[in-house]
Amino acid sequence: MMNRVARNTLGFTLAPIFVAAILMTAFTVQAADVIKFGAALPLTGPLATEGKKQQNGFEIWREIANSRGGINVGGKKMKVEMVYYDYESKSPTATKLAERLITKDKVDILIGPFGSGATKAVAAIAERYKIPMIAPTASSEAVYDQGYKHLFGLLAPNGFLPSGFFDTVTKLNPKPTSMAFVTRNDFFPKAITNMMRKASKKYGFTDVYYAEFPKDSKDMSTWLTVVKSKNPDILMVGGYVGDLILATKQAKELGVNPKIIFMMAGPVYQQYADALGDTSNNIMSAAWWSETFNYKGRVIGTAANFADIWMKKHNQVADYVGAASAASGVVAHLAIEKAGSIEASKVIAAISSLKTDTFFGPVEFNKGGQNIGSKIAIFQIQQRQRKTIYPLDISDGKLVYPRP
Amino acid sequence: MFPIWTKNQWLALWLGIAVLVAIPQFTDNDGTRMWMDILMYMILAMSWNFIGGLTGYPSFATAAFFGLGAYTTAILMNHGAPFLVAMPLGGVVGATVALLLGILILRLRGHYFAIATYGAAEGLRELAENLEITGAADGINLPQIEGTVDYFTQYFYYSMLAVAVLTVLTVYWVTRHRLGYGLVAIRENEDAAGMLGVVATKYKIVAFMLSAIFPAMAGGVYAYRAAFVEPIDVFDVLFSIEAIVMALLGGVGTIVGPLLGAFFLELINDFLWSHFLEFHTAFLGLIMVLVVIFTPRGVMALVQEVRKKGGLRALGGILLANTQRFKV
Repeated sequence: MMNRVARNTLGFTLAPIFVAAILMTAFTVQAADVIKFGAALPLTGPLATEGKKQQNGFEIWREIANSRGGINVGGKKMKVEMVYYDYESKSPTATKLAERLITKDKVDILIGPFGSGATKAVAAIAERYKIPMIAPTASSEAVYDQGYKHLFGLLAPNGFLPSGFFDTVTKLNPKPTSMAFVTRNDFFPKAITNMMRKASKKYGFTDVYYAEFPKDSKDMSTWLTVVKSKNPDILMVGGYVGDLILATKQAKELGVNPKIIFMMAGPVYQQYADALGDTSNNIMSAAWWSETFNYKGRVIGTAANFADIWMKKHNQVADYVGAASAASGVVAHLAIEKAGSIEASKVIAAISSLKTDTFFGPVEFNKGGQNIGSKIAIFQIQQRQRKTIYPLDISDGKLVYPRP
Repeated sequence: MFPIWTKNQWLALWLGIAVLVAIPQFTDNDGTRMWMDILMYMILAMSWNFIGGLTGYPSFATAAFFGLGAYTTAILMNHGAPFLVAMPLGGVVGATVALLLGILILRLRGHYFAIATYGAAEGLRELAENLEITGAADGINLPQIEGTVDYFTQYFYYSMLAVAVLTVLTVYWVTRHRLGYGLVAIRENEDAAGMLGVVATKYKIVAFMLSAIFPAMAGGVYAYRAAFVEPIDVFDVLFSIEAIVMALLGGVGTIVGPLLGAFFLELINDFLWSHFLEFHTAFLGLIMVLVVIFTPRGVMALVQEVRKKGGLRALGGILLANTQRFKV
């Protein structure tokens, strides 16, 4: 081959073109009696921890489903097969791989990537190819505002958070009256912080400060110093676990001491309490799921069941990322059984009208495809443990207020 | 410098284009998708070659222009413009920004220029993250293309191919033209080029604009296909870096080099993705290291050397000799 190349450099381009074109067409093998699920996950890059949890969640569901012979599709048991790709925590790669999952691997159902931004990107692809997509970890309403018919999200909408939070804090004595808001300039943290800020006005709080810090900031002291001088009763910080560990640590060092510190969405991870130790105590946050919730349903059983399996397999405390991922599988599982078919349009219809209980909580999708059956719980870290404060029917602790 | 193309070379070019036109008929939609990505990176690498390869100015602004094109297309289409109007206008916006930016920063040389172009891309990203018209950090949706899977896959593919062919023809024209010789003169010795009557500033700005217009158009195709763009995605510095790596891999300053570089790197990338779930980035890194050690001047230089030294049998010796460069 090289001799021909030597004779004619441009000809060099052609040989590989032909070879590749032939290779491309050669590989399309389709196994029967199998339902194919595809997931592009952030298995490397900054979101790798989350991506791994998602994969672990899907696998727990897949193993349970297959150990019972598979999913019952109109009387015929079909096994579950998963195809995974790594999108390196970059959404453009996620969309590219979603296309590959659909066109090459011919998956029947897509299970979403991590977070709102990537989900919104991949949802556009699923909609174009008319493939059902279940998103485990996208809760921002803006993800579901395009009128897409193929997208369903497991997490309760962010909008559920303010009512729970403010119902809790407005009953406190002495009543807090002022709030400061700081957020990472990123899809989810910004959406949720701004939503809380808007709601705070309705509940009569004075808004003393609002700031955004750039993604991957290595120093939070600039805005923390301002917060200290404004002395709000409540400080809310939006960001991811790395940001929030840093912010909590620096707040302590700088003596920033509001009556309540509310952070989304880092404290829900065990990693947060582990990294901060006692500094994590009395920080408030919210969660879509915890193993302590009194939830129960088909396929996986109770929330505690799921947490046990997770602990045995991975030797860590299960959190909502893994649980929501397994629950995505459960939702698809129940919908396919209900539809008696894996045809996309029938599965879509079945998911849309699904109303059921699961280990992840009640599931019921609104028009945009968000799960409005579920709740968001408010918790506080006490002695490095997450104690649920709200809603009262699943709470197991009392709020420490004001923070000592 | 750039030898006149022989009849065979022209034949190869047209044949290459003919094959690319025919590809969607011979492969499935996933294959077409992969070829579209290869074409996109070919556009980026060839465009970088105008400023980085021919002129010798190491630009990191590819991502800036790509993002500009993506956002221009998104905004125009959301205001009702058809894609075939919005996408070329994205190119115009890219070139205009390159003109203005070029006037400012093309006075800088070497590392300083590189940093300024990188800063420009980051600055544009920050702008997109904070302006209302770009949807800020939430990103922006585009209208969905209607039609069957075959239809839209081919629609995007041929759009990308059209931009790529336009880029190749422009590369050919520039290297035949006074402009190309002027740019090479600037690369070799800017002061001397000035003495010979090359108006360096003007030439450099034109080269910078050429390096902007096609990535911006590719960005437009990308945006319509993705139907959703976020600042961090389209202003990603990786677009700049990959364009440079591909041009280096193929051979800087050559016509075919960037094409080959983009082709091989994308092909390797695609293969690694689908076969090594967790270690693909490590493999890619390894391949790059090997390339740098064994063919530091790119595949095209290697091909030329092999030809000079009498065929494939000399290949081993040449590769070994290349590694000697690292001995101090």
